[in-house]
Amino acid sequence: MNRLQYLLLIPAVTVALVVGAYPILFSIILSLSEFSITTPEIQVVGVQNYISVLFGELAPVFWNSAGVTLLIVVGAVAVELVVGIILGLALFGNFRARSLFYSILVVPLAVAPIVLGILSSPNVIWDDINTLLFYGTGLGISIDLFQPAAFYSVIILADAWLWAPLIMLVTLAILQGIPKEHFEAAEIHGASSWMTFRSVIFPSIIKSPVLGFVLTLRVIDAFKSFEIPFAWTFWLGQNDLGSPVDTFSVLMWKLLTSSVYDFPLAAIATIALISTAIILVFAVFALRYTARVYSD
Amino acid sequence: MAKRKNRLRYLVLIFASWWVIYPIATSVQESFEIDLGPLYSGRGVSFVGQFFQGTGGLMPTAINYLQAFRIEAWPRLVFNSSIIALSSVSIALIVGIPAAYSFAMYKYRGKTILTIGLLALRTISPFAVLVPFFIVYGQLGLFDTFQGMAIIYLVLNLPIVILMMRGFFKDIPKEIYEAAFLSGASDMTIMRRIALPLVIPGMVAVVLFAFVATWNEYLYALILTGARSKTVSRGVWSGFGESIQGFKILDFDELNTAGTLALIPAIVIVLLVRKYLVRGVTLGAAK
Amino acid sequence: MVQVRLTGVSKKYGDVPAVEKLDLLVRDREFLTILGPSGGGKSTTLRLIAGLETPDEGDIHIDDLRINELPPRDRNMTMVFQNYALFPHMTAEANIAFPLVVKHTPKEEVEKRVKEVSSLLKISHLLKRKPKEMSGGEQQRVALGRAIVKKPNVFLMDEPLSNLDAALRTEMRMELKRLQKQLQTTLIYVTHDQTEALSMADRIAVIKDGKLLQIGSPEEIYNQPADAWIASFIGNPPMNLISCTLARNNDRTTLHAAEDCVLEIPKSLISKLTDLEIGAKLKLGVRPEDIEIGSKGATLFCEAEIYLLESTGDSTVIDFKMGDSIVKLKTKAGYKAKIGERAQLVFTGSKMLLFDAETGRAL
Ligand SMILES: Nc1ncnc2c1ncn2[C@@H]1O[C@H](COP(=O)(O)OP(=O)(O)OP(=O)(O)O)[C@@H](O)[C@H]1O
Ligand SMILES: [Mg+2]
Repeated sequence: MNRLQYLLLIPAVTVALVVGAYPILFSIILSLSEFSITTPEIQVVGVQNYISVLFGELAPVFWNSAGVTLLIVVGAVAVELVVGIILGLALFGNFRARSLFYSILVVPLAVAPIVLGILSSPNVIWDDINTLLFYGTGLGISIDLFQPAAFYSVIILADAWLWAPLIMLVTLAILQGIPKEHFEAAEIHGASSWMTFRSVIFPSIIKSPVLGFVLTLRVIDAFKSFEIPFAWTFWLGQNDLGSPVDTFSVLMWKLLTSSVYDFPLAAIATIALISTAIILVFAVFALRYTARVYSD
Repeated sequence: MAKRKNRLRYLVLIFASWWVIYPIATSVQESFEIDLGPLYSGRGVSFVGQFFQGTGGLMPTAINYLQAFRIEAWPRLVFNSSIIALSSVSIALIVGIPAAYSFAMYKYRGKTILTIGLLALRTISPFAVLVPFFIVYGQLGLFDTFQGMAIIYLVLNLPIVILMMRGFFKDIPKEIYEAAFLSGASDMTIMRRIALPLVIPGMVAVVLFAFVATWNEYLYALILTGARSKTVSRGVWSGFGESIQGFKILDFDELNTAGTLALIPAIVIVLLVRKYLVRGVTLGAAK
Repeated sequence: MVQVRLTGVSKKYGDVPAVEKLDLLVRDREFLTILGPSGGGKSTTLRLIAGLETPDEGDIHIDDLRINELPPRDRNMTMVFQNYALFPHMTAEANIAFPLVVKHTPKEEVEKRVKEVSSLLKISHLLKRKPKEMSGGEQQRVALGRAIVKKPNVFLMDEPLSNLDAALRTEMRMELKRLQKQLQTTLIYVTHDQTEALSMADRIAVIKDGKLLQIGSPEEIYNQPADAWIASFIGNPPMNLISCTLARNNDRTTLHAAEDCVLEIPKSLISKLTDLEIGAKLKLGVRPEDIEIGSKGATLFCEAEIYLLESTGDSTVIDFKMGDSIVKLKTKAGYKAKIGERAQLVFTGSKMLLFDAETGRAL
């Protein structure tokens, strides 16, 4: 009958195949091969790269990165969720200077993550904060950014700085979508603001498929997080493999750009594929529910 | 009661605003070589961790900005980023709009799978794309070129275009399409003469969004650009000079200047498209 | 000749049946109104005819051509929507010209037709304006212009007047009717407004729950509703439906409506009741204008208490309380009566209808 709907998809599908499927296939072949940049011939050798990454030579740095990545994903997304919802609630309604606050609070959405890698650095804000803590308060204390608790917190807070506004906007959109009558009904029945919050507002936010969808995207993106931990490898002087700020992406970047490791492209492809597989399993599972936002 | 609630609200918002502004303000101020650290201490010195950091400066100077423009690196980076972003977004629009239209207008099996597939593009580790493209671009001579970067950024821009445009097409009341359909117009005529003219404002928003996303992207640029096509976001990190090799001592005032310069257009654009912001950041899932 | 015929047409949205086994014949050049309650399946019926939906079952024919699978653009029908659905980025002129332009009509021909249509609809002065710059009524005319410009076989209209204010609506009703007679085109008009249906249509099809309840001229629908629901839907105020039970003693057949209300059955109806048993539950239908206030001695009367007086300007509606139900009576404006008084209601026997209380079907 009418095939136009499929014809219209062809250009996009072609591009998606070129920039998505093709590199994945290439990476798969590469991951099954022995490959050196000096002898650009790909020799398929089997799963030895996978064994090396998961159990062998590269296993310690791989599993280290898995831990670091997980910590950042969970920490950042949790903080973003909580902060974002609070900000969304705070911005909901009519009050003075609302649009000013709104404009300020969406600014981080424009900021490049790499810029935040700089902004969150010891030399830009922490020197001032520490100086203030040390002298200004007269307490003689300071934050030692070389402590894992400190630098993980900073990395997570930096990510939250960037993305809490996203959750804030989503929360706001959800709240604005709640029919006014629901609030009025609650009010007429004499519900306190806390009860209104518990019975009307909170369930709408938590059950929103849009929030679920956006959280899924956040998890996917945080899983690939690069710029902020990358910047912190510099601030902390962590240029060795397996450092405490090596997310998967940072690990692969180190392998790719440092001549020390002889450009192990096959190993990088392997790590890239394994990490993609992990997040893809999550994504497909989560999107099955949350991609509903696009079905109508 | 209501007053108390508002006080809490303002408390939260003022704190959050400070939280947003403070790092940016500090960076801007340091780009003019003002360091307030020593003032905070009251002793003319500032600290990082336990270590003495410096005596700072209180005299504003535009030297970093002058340098950014004088050695001509900055305008060049802006040019590179703009060309790459605009060409990538243009390609994404050309191939993405028909798909968006198909997603928005027709009912057929497999659409959900295709949508999930499109979103799954996002799960691909950048290195699973980078490594093959690194090799292939080397062979094709696309390494460090505008074309090469425009293509690679389609990974980013295609989903933005398809999913956002889908939403804009869906916003047009269905009766408008039906009226056109009953008037005897073919599907292509409806798309060309009715749908596209009506989504032009949305299209502008999409272009601006994709522009910001590309402008801000760092990792692909880090690996695949060199002296010729280096982008703004790379310049932010490595300073205005040419590419850095390995680890180097960084000049923070220079970084802050570059950061500030990179921020300005992005912030202006985001505030310009305020109306479409939610749609942009949620890939059209929320309005 | 253009005649539209639906036979056994069904359409479901998911599990929701919107139209069920619908048979409908729209005659050539008639003004057919589809009337029914909200959610009854009127729009769905229209959209099926237009081809915007395809039926799950059944057939749709134009004359002898089966058009189930024919795409809308090949059906030569046009539709006017409730929200006008004008193309917002085009001027009125471009909107009206659109159906011709997409058919690659020569430019002079397009201009000529647009001119004709706009003078017919008195919108020549609006041609350069965009929809946003026009009032609702003006937009409605432009939408009509777009619909008639290509001389369709069938006009379809889905509540086209419901976004207009009352005065404009009345004016447009008459104009539409005149237009349809002038253009001699089959018109199917969906509305849930019975006044609109009664005043415009050649015939009315009443659709409820996706089923056709009755089709007939406005007079038939008004005077002989096939169904208690139609009776209660049409008329302003609608027909009284009084619950009663059938009784027989000796040769007399009577209806017990309430304690003070035992009615002798008019001769015209007796033949319809022969099959019914004593004690059968019925509904007596009588229009408010077919009841009068009279005195004892008339054959068909009941006593009831005045409950409420409503003045509608050109008439007075008196609500009587009879047993547990309210009976409305319509009389001339300015009628004086006191609430709480008792009065005799006299029914016009020839206008009385009986419905089966259970099925609602007319007897
Ligand atoms: N696109 C749709 N998807 C799902 N259900 C639908 C759709 N369109 C209509 N329905 C359902 O089908 C039934 C008939 O709808 P339809 O729009 O034909 O009614 P209608 O008589 O035109 O009502 P109204 O006077 O409110 O316009 C309703 O129950 C409605 O909820
Ligand atoms: Mg309807």
